[in-house]
Amino acid sequence: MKPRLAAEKEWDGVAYNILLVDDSETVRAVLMKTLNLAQIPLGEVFMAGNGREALEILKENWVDLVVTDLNMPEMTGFELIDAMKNDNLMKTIPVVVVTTEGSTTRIDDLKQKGVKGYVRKPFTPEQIREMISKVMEAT
Amino acid sequence: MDGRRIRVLIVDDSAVVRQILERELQKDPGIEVVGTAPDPYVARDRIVHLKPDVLTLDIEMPRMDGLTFLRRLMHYFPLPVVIVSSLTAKGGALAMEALDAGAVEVMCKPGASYSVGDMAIEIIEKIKAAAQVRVEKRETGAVGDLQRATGAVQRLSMTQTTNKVLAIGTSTGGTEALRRILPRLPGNAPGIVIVQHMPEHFTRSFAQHLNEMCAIDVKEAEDGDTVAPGKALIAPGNFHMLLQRSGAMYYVQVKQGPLVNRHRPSVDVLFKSVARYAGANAVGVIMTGMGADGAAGLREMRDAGAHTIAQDEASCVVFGMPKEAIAMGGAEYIEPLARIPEKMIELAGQG
Repeated sequence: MKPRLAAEKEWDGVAYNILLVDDSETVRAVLMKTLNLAQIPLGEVFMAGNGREALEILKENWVDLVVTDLNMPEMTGFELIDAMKNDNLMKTIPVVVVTTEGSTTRIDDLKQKGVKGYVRKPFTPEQIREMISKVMEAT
Repeated sequence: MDGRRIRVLIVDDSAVVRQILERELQKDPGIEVVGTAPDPYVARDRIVHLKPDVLTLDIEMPRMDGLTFLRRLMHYFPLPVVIVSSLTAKGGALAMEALDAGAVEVMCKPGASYSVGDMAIEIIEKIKAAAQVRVEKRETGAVGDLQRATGAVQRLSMTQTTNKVLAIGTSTGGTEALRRILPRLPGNAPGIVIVQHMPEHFTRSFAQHLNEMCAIDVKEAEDGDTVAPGKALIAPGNFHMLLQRSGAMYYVQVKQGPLVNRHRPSVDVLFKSVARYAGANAVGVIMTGMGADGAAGLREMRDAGAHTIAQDEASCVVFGMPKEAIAMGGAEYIEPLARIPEKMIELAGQG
């Protein structure tokens, strides 16, 4: 999928490149809109429909934050996170999970793997903004 | 250089350091500071838009640390990077990791024993060297996937090694070159003395790092250390190292003194002492680096009967010092980096 250039580049060039991974185009659009409304300084925003597409984008593009769903066809968010942790370059990219998955053991497992944040679907724009701001401030 | 000015981007979280660096670099007519950045995210934006030739990077920064930034940079937008680090043990270790991640040069920030003027001379030189480097894209690697040079060189018998000395001099690109050749030497290789142009303190981290990779022992030289088989001594930054002889035993003298060829340690200082005290019992190797330090010394070694090797152009990061050595007639053999370990040992084994 084609990278999209965000409307504004400000903060003297501070801008985050974000990869949104979800098999639903609607969810991706909602996330994109949320990011814009949240006034997070955006550089390039990339979109992927599953883990495999996400990895291809990560190989070619400098991404600062991955926001991913878990249950997706072809390659799941769990598999994507595992693949990132096994790559010297990608293992340092923060990951936020946005999912309907509610199992606390699975979420704890993800935190063990270094996932920085977790937002349960359905989400509000405020929740997304808060989580992303928290993660990007910390890194 | 084609006469065009080298376009430099300064990345440092300290506004004071950015100002000092910019002011000092602008004094050189060959350098243009195209921008500065206080943070890795701004830096990336400037890199994409300004396309600098060389980056100076503070390795210790808040938010995204400099190493993570460097690794991503070398993958997505590879360009020559000069690391500017603080003079601490942690800084030294970070500098080693930065070289590992693909940085071309490391240097330290001005401090108590290191004036802004000294730093300006050094960083301008390093930027000019870095601008000549061809930087290749680093592929993403699996965790733990270390590139190790394989193919250890055959051991020599003890009688062939005890009175031999191997002397190596190098500069830009030399840390990587040494990391490739020293691990291939057998544990009983002749005693080795090395000058790598590098700041004080960093040489210690570098020696420790090599020691972990090698069959031979590698350490930062201290005054009076003996030169013995199975041991390599690296001249400490900011000191000259000279070979000396007491009876049948070689040892090194580590001392202050004026810069030679604008360097301390200087390769010429080492090579000339080796020519004098080891004569035909030495093998001299000059490797990648800008300038001419070591060229005259290698010629003196050869005139004293030593075998000498210059690294070939294709395998050099910067073909400066070897080129000068060849032009001065000091290089008996010209070899690619990969062949240097066997050639050194082979020549040391000859009478």
